[in-house]
Order: sequence, then C-alpha cells, then structure tokens
Amino acid sequence: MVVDWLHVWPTVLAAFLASIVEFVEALTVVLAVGAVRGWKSALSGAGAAIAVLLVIVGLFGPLLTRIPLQDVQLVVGGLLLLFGLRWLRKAILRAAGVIPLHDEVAVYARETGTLQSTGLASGPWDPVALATAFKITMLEGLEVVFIVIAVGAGGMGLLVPASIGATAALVLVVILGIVLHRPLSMVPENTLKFSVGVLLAAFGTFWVGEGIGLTWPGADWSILGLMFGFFLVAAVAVPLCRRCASAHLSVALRQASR
Amino acid sequence: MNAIKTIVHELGGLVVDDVGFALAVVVWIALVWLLSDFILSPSPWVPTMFFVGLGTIVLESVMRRSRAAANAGDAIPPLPAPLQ
Repeated sequence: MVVDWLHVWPTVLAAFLASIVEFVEALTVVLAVGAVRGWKSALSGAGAAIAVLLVIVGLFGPLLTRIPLQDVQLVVGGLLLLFGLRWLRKAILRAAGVIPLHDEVAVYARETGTLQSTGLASGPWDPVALATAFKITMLEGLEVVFIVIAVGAGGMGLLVPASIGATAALVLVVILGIVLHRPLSMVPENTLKFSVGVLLAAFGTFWVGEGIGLTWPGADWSILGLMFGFFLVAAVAVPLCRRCASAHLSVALRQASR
Repeated sequence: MNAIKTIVHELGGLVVDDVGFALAVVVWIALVWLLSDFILSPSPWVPTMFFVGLGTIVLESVMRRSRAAANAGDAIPPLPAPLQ
C-alpha cells in the first residue's frame, strides 16, 4: 500500500498543479472572448474543444495499457523528463528575473483589444469567438492531455488518479472563473510551474531510469529523493542566474558607456 | 492546414524549448543507457550519476541563457521573492 500511495499522491498532485496552470491560461482568453464577443460562442467553442480532447483521451489512454510497461516508462518518461525540465528551466529563469513572468492581466488586455478590433458577426454564431475559444482550449487542453497521459502511464492504474487531478483543476478554475469573472492573476503561476517542474522531472528521471534498467536505491522511495534533488538544483540555480545576469549586464553597460 | 501546423508546433514545443538543452538531455540518457548496459556494473552510483548529469545540464542551460540575456541587455531587474 505504501508503494501505491507513493505513486498515487504525487500523480494526482502533479496532474492537478500542471493542469491548473494550463486551465488558467485558457480561462483568460475564454473570458476575453466572452466579454467582448458574447458568451454563447465563447462557451460553445471551449465546450467543443473539451469534447474533442475527451475523445483523444478515450482513444489513446487505453492504448497505452497494451504496450509493455518498461517501453512506456522509457518513452513517456523521456517525454515527461523533457517536459518537466523545460518547465523547471523556465521557472528558474523567471524567478531569477532573466525572462519576464507570465501576466494574465496583460494577456487579457491584449486579447480583448484584438477581439474588439475585429468586426462583430451578424448571425447568431460568431465565428471569430468560436474559433478563438476553441483554439485556446484545444491548445492548452492538449498540454493537459499530454500531462495526464504522461504521469498516468508510469504504472498500472495511474491514469485514473491523474485524470482526477486534472478534472479537479478544471472544476476549480471554472468555479473561480464564474465567481470572479476576471483573469486569475492571483494564481502564483511561476511557483506552480516551479513545483510541477520539480515533480515531473523527478517522475521522468525515475521512469527513464527504470526504462533503461537502472536500479534505484530505495526503489520507489528514490522519487522523493529526486524531488529534493531537483528542488536543490533549482534553489542553487536561481541566485546563480541572478548574479550571472547582473554581472554580465553591468559589464555590457560599462562597455556601452565607454 | 494552419491549425494543424499550430497544433504540431505546440506539441513539439511541449517538450522542446531550447533545442540544445533537449538534445543534451537525450544524449545523456543514451550515454547512461549504453554505459549501464555495457560498461558499468549495477550499483547505486549509476542512478546517482544519471541525476547529477541532468542537474548539471539544467544548471549549464540556465546560466548560458542568463549570460545571453544579459549580453543582449534584456535581463529584467531581479525580483524580491525567491520564487516569484
């Protein structure tokens, strides 16, 4: 049971946290579409995309169970590792101030401006609103599907906990969107990306290791060690990047002023 | 056609942000796989070495990006909170 819980809770947590980031990004654009072009087309576009995504999960989820676990762990673990390290890398760079933070309010303002500049539809359906809501929900949703399938593919029966995590994130974001009616700028996106990057990188490393035949010390417990390890790497990297960026910037400024 | 292109681009972008970084991770996985299969005997040091390599790749990549941003003059002022 200990081993099961060790896999289940991080799976639910990783899927929940990663999905919440994606759903918040989709909600911002859907809110902008609804506010400017009308809710009927905005919600229909988002709903149609969710239906397509559910079909994708229904098709590809069960297919994974037919492939030998070690092969799935290597391929999906590799993708998960790349995905997790990519998030962790971006979160480190944002935390160090090297790249700007994602600003939902700015995204909302930009989307609203773009949608207002396009002429309104004369019929009952607004194709621009439908397409914009469909596209953003599809794109962000595909990332969620990838996350659910990837974190759910690491062991038998993990697809359900991963789906529960993603569904809980969807429900939470939809409720907050209905209640607040504005972009969820208070969600600490970079902290979430940081945590998810650490979780997914740890899972990915563990599964790739299993896939290539490594014997992890402490078996499944080493996932916790890997999480701590990646957190440590990130904690060391942030001040190093800050120092490196400011040192190079001051040298560049000195050279420019000469 | 444009929609398909966007979806393919987005899917690729899920795992590859910086080509050099992604390539380094893949090469490291392949190298550890080969070493563990043919040269190294099974020991707890191999997985540890695998992790240390990945950590080093992350560190090198973020430092390289920081230097590049500073050289281009687009580094924004550091933020007060450690993770925000």
